[in-house]
Amino acid sequence: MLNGLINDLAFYFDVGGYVMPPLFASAFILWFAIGFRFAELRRGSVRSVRQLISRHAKGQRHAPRGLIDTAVVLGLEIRRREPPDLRRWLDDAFADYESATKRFHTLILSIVAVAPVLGLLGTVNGMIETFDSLGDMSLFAQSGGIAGGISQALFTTQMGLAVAIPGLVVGGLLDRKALRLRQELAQVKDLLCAPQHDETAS
Amino acid sequence: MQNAKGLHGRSVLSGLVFMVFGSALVIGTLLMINRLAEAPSREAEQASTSFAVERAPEPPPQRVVRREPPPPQRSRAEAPPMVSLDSSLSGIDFGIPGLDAGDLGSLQDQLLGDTADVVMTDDSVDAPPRPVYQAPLDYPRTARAQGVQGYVVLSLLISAAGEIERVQVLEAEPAGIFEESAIQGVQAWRFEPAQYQGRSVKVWARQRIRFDLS
Repeated sequence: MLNGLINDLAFYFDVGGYVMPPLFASAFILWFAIGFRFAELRRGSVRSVRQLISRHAKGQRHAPRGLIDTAVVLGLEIRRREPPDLRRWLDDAFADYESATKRFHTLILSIVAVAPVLGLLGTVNGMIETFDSLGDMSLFAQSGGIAGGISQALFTTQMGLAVAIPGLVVGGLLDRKALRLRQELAQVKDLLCAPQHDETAS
Repeated sequence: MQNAKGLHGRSVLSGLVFMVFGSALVIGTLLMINRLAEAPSREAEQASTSFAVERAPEPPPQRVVRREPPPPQRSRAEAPPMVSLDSSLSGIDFGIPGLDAGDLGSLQDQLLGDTADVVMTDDSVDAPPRPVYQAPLDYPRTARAQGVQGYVVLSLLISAAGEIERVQVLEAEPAGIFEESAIQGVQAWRFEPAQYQGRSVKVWARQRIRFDLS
């Protein structure tokens, strides 16, 4: 079974022509990026931002488990130092987190966009081979010929789409999550900059 | 910042895990899909082979039709060299003047093997002509009265449309009795034209006609 799968894989790798290595590489990179992004976008606690800040301010501290948790801890530390221009300090400190939410966003987008196009390139290549073989009259040659060209054409497109579609779906979900995290980071900043009695009173 | 670095390391780890499982998922799905796609095609191939098997039953009806031709085949084996030599030579003879005349168009036709004007024999065609309509022949009255039996071997020029164009008597036994009625009767016959390389062609065919009083 496994041997058969590996054989098939080697066959398709062979049949697909020169677009297959980049496609496989982009599949690996895409999934690495997705995994990385998935881990980076851990929010941490499920509590709302307001509750988090008040709990941390009261000293009920847990080890921060995610992006918002660590941001709240860092923000509270900065506020304790009472710098003259709190918002700028916070902006500066949170820039890392903001960039963390955006990391690999573009890479995922590019791979999702490029993979089908690479597949298309392989398709065109296969079609050229097909028409070459029509010209040579070597229609039914053992390697290539019409059948080889068409199977290359179809398989590369299939591979490109197979790489892109899950990336598109998961990437979209991660993007939504990242957007929400960025909004929450902004919320943390706002809450930290607001007059202090707001949270201590609550 | 240490925390952040710890998170970072975890992200890389998670990225690697995703890379392995995600890629395996994608490629595995792909292979599975292709396996699924292959399966019906194999069935289709089997179906097509079964079609090939179904074709086999067709020949028996042909054999039934050919039960009449065998006598001609036997007779063809008797003296074919004469006829085929004769007619093929005549065919070549008709072709060569076109070459000599230097008519380029007709020359090309000859070189490409255009057999439109060539008369072939039923030995050289792919499928010999087959009678589709055989009108009953008149038995000569005098012969019937005298109880004479015999046969006539005719050479028929069958056009590409299956009609009789010319009839020659090759052999008659006994001579001078049955030829007339055989020639007249055969004129009305219709044939399925002979096939050569997928086309209907004009052909000389031998037909043996027996006159029995049975």
